[in-house]
Amino acid sequence: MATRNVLPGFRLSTGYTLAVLGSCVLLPLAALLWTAFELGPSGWWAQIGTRRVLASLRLSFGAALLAASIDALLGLLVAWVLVRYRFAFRRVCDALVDLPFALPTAVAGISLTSLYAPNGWLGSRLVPLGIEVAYTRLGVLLAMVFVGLPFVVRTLQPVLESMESDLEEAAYTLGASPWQRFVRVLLPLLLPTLLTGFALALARAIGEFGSVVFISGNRLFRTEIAPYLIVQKIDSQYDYRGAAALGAVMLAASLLLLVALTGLQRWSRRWAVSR
Amino acid sequence: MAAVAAAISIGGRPSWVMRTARTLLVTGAIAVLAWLLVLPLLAIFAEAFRQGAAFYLDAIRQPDTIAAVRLTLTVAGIAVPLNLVFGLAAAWSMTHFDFRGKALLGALIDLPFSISPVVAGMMLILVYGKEGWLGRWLEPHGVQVIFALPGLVLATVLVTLPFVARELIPLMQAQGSDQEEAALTLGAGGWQIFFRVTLPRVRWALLYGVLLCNARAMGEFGAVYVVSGHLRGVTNTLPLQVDQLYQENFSAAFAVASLLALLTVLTLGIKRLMEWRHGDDLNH
Amino acid sequence: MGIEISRIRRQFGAFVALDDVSLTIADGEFVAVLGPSGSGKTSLLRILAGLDQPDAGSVHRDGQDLLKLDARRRGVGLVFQHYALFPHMTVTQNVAFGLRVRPWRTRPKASVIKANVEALLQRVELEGLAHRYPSQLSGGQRQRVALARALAIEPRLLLLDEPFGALDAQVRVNLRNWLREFHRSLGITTLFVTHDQDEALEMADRVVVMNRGRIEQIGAPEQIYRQPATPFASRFIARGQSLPGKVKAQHLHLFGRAWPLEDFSLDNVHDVSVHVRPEDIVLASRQGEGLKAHVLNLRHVAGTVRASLRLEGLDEPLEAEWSERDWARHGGIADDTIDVHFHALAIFGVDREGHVRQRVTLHPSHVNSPVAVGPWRRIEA
Repeated sequence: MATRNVLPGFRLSTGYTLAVLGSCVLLPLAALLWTAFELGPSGWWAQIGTRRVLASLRLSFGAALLAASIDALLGLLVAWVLVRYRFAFRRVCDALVDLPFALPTAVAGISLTSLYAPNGWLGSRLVPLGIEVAYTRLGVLLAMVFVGLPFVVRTLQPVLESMESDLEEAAYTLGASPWQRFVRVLLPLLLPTLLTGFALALARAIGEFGSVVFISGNRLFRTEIAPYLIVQKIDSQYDYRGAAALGAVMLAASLLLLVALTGLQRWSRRWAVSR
Repeated sequence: MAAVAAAISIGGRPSWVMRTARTLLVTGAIAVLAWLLVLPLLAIFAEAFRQGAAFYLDAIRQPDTIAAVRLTLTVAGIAVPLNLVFGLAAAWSMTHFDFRGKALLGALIDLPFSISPVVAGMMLILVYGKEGWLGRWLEPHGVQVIFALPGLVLATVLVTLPFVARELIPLMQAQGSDQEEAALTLGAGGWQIFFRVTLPRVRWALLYGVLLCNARAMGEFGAVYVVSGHLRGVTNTLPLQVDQLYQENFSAAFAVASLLALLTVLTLGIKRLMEWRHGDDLNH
Repeated sequence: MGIEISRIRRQFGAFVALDDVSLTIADGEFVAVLGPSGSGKTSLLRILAGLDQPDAGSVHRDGQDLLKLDARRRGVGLVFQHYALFPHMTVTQNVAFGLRVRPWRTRPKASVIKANVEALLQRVELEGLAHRYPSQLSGGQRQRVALARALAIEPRLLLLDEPFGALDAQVRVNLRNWLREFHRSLGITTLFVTHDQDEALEMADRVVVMNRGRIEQIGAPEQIYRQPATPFASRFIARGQSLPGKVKAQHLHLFGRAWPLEDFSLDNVHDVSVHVRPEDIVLASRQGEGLKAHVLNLRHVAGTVRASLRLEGLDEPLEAEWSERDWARHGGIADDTIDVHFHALAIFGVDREGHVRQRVTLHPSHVNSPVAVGPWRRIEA
């Protein structure tokens, strides 16, 4: 495969691809990083180190981590049920999983808010119980869980579908109970895929704006997410440098997370057997 | 399917323990989906029609809303074909050639997925805004990008860039280069090969990618919010209109939102249909 | 004692995997179940292992109904065709698995498990590899780990599903001998499934020949080879080749000659098959005595001569096998026309459902007379 470049169109296709990537992705990215660096370390810290910004970062990353974990559990349940069992409306349920992925984020945002607001259908039942969802951190968490679920389910499904049954059968013939088969054989094998789904859900949740910003209520220091702060800096303060600094932080942290999780995946795949 | 058989009945007849577990799990999964997904979807329509059908129709027919619909269609109408071309070009490049930095190119194509939409919009302002790197040169020449249509298109393109490419690249890589090379030996030129050999083979994946790209493009909020300027009737796409209405008129916002929700349901339906009828061609 | 399999039937939709299969396995026996794909051998294995339930029939061991027990209590060890080793566990962890998942009441102490595993690994000659992962082992090594893992639970019946299918020829041969010796030292009742005749015939005490869900024949390897009971067994194991013979009026008519058959009734017989084995095609000692055969090619293989012969009235060439000595005595080269006659013919009378109703071995006299008289011998069907 060394020099297979016999087909025409290399320069055209690659050139065009690079041109588009350059002007739409790389150039803006460079501008972002440059602007953030222009601040210098002290300026940068002045922007990021404020109580407000730190609170928003804590919320965005913390809630996203928790949400992605919840998504991993729920996603495993849903994917398992969809793949392994036959039941009425299974196809409908399968199609539904794509909803958070396909629904415009603003629509999801206002819908979740209206459901959980104190006068909403669910909110009116929960608030008397002391559970406040809308305009709280719980709401932020909920919206993030909503947004991340399809990533876990869709990542797990093909893997579950193509798993050979003989490992489970072997475990059965060796006397393992259904629970033991699940915990000792299936889960370890699903771990890399689960981590992938977790990572995708996490990345999405950290950067999510539309679905979260309505239900969060944007209470100062309490429920402001990082993307909202960026919007504030641009819209009302024209503080492009500050926005860039925050954006760069978000980008850097997301990238770090990605690298860490790729490493984890590789570690958990170390025993991969090829048939 | 072997996995299914194994789960349901390793050893022949499932015990009552297995059957109870199964019922619990299925109920649990359906409950999760109903609570987390179905309720919000239903809520949109419930709120939209809360004040009656007449109110609903009136809200939809407002001039600002109609302008927003037109704008959304225009933006998507420009952005999606652009991404279509990009996807084809990227897939052609990644499939048929080996070159240094190919893996890097692949990562770059996926990059927009890892960027928060708001950050994406902001990045564009830094380059194309009034004081941006390119903007400060464009503006005096009368080309306004940010707070105008080009900005909206650019933001949408950036955020939905990978969609078509991600459908095409794995499929085309699985299909390989053999047929194209065969056409080459038979004397076909580059464009002929592309239109007569490649395109027919990937048309369903292309359509599928366009479908997803379009759904996302029409529904994009975060990136567009930042570059828009929120001029009602001028630079408000449908999602932005929803947001603005939400501050003023609760039910009207949901009426407009229901249009987008309908689009989503339609998209999911077509997606399902395509997966069912052309699953193999999609490499799914 | 032993295992009694009685009238097992298993159907998948319209496909009948097992059709009225009955078999008795004695304690400590090494039985091979031999058949082509689709013959039902794997289905039988899975039913014995508890991975499937038959639609009809029973399996008893020492009078106990085996089918009612789940895997934990059956005491059956299964070695899968592709080993099914747990990729995320080391060799030791794989082998120890069956002991570790026992309910805590019957679970041995950790130190006992460790000792057992070490002893087993020594037995299968894999001591140094205790901490490797399956991905780091060769095919033959994985095979032995799978075996050790199945043996760790101290099964009373060991099942092997095409154990050597995925291995290189040389490894296969070595493992075959090794397994035979291993079984001899262990003495566990062993049932192994294969589609390779050589393997089955070489290793087993008894061979069960299966085809299309039915047992065609059960017997010791040499016995099946010498006296195949059905056309399938004859073709599949004894290398029988079809000849266009017909039975009329108590005579076998073949290539223009006729030989008398005693006690070959045509009642219920729908179809007659005549088979000859390569080594039963004999070179005629005198010219013009036997059937004319045109030698298409000759191959000298390790002390034997194998020839493809074209006979008049036969579309397919016939494979013949002679010793080098016999061929040298006869002289002759390829492309010759030679005379041959048949030392032995197996004649099967099969009814509409494919059951063999009549079965006779005929040793035709080679004297060139239209109605020869003996010598012949009859074997019971």
